[in-house]
Amino acid sequence: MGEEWNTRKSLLRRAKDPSDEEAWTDFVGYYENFIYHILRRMELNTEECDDLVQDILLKLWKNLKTYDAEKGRFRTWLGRVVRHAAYDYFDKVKTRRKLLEEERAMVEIIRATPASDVERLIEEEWMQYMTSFALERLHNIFSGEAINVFSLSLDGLPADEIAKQLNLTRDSVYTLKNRVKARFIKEVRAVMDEVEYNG
Amino acid sequence: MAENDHPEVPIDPRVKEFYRLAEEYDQVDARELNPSLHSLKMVSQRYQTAELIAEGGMKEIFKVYDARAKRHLAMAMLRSDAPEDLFDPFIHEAWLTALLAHPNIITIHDIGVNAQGKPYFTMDLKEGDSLRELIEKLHRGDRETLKRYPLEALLQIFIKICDAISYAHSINVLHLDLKPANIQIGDFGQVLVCDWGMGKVLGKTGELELDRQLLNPDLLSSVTLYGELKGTPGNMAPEQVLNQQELDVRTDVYGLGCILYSLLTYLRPLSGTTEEILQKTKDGAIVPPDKRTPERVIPKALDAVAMKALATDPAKRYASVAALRKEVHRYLTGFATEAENAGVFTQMNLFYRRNKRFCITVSCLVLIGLAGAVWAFIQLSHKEQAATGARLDAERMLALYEAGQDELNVLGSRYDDSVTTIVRRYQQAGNFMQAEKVLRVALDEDADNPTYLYEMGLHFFTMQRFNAARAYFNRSGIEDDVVEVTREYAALKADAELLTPEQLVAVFPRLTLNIPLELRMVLYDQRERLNLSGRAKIVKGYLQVLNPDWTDPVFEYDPEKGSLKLGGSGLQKVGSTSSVLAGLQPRYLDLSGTEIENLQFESGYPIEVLDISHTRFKNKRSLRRMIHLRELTVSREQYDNMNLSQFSDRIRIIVKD
Repeated sequence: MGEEWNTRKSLLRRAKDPSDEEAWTDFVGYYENFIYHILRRMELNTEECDDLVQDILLKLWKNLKTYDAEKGRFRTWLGRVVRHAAYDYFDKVKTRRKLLEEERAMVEIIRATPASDVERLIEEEWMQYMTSFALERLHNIFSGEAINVFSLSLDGLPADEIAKQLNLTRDSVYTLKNRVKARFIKEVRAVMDEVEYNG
Repeated sequence: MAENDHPEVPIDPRVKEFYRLAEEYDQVDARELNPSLHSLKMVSQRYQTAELIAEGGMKEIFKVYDARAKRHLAMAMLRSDAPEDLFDPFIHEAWLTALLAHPNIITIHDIGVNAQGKPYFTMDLKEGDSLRELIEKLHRGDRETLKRYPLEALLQIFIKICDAISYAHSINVLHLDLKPANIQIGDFGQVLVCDWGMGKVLGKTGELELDRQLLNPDLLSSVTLYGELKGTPGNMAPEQVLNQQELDVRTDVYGLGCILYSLLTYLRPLSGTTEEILQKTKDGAIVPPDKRTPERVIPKALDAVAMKALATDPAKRYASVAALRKEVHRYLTGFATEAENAGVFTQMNLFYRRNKRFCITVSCLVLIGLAGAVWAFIQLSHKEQAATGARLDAERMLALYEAGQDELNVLGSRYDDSVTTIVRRYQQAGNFMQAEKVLRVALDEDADNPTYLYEMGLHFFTMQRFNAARAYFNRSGIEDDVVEVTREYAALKADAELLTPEQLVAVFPRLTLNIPLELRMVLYDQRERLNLSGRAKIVKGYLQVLNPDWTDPVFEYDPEKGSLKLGGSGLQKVGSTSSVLAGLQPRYLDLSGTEIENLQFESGYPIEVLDISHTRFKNKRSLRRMIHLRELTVSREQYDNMNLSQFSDRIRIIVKD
């Protein structure tokens, strides 16, 4: 697990490689969940949600090849592409059929929100999603105790308090906390390298 | 819809900010996440701030800061005007010294070539004085030094020097320049033999298989860095001065004889101009220590030992350093040395000295005890006289000594316990107040008795009150490993605080085979230390000392559940009189697969679940005393041998195959 990120190519490089037949499957594996997640967060609960997800996925896949790391962060770019894809989709649906009452209300709200806010929301959710994803992996790397120390420190508990709760010395609390923290950052980075396109 | 097909990643809002950190990861990498790695990588100049601290011959010694290891070291280099043909011998000195791995020989850390192409090597930075400076202080009558280094302490130093040289000889290395200036004495009793620049490898290969290439006598010839004279006048053996005889271990015996001579007289064996000294060396014109300094009381035995080591004819010296060491050691343990050629009177005198503590103790106590002591004295002196008559050799003398000690021990417990025994018994039982009271009474009677003073020191040592301990140890004048540790730890913490578990565990390996003392320390510590995890660390450390073969220790302790699992091969003992495990309050104890034979808990100890399968445990009585036991796991064999079926109404017995 821990070694995997080292050898794995970034998704984009794989997307460019015609011989890599699983690149699309893996891409869907990572991004489909996220897009569902965003739509849920936006309380976008349309009948055609699955279609919408597929549509956004396709647009992303196509656009991945145009992403230029020099011009900006991946997450910013992602926010923009996803927002555009969603807007396009609703435009398309509107011409094809009448939106349901509640769908329309929702689309109105989204439309009324400044584009930059929507994009920022998507961006934030992406960060949230990626870090949580990495956190899940961390459970396979560290003992329960190390994770507990880290978790309590995330809650803002001082080292002394953590030491008392977990019956550890202060020094081992510091050591464990720093070790997990350092490894976690590395893991987030690994997930980013694997899932995002960072050149 | 979505929820059904796509398992959600559990979202933890607390970690979101790490995304930004990860984005910066490439830049912050070393600096923020592994600052130590980063700073280590950044060290381009390993040795810094060179400061000249010593010069000798063509060598210069600098104090340098090792920026990688973050400590100060000593760096040896050749003088800038040294001819290039000294480079190789210089490197050979370093290689030779690096071969010698002994606690009393200076350690080489790094050998290399600097940017200017000059060789260098680094070694321990010597702290404290050289033995030469120490002897000079003694000669000047420096009161502090005199108090700190009575003859016994100096002889202990001498024994350590002998150990180092014995070791070197065992791998065919000769020092050939032994003198007080080349011995470094640390503040905490460390003794280091330095300056192996004159060292030589004997022409034959020994039992140890060493790097032949490196030890090639041709390579490490007797080239010296100190100019023409291969040695220091006054410390050179006659065969070195004459330069016509093969040098061997007895040349170093002579050097050690010079050191012993200086320890006894605070003077060098010979004085005068270089020519006079060299002539006197050849003639063997050395004045014996007790005639040289008649104002000092020099034990006859040691006078004889020094003169034998300094014999002009190597054949008349001790044949090995070990033989010389043995003689000095015998003096320290209170026996007549061979060189002294002791008569009956000397033997009797020594007997009295050896057993003074016993006699004094007994006379302080009951009259019957005194009668017993007289009886013991008569009994023993018969033996001793017989021994003298027969001129027993060293081994038999030692055996007798040990036998005598045993007898004294038996007698001691028959008539009355010695103060020491009583004190330790109280300590073991946890009654430290009473132990201290007994010692105070004993000291009231005999305020300067070194045994009582030392015992009081031990008492405070056991309680981790090192400052209090140090005061008593100093007054006792006794120097040993316990005293050494005490000095070091006294500086570490106030007496009212406990050591950290790590600090306490670090004490154990420094006390040579003093399990009873370590046990008392652990038991006292457990009374004071409430944190169970801390206790567990200490117990583990103690068990490791108790079971030196326990190389792959398993020690799983859960203070909340009260469960303890011990495992790993070589674990044979878990405690002697009262188990240290009790301090961990285990209710579930798993010893399966260890080599433990017995467990001694106080009766009624609340152990509930015990696994002793595949151990050597077969003591039914100690099981019966565990009245709270409700589940017991044993092997088939144990079940049969111990006839455990009678327990089955009360305890659930699990039989493992």
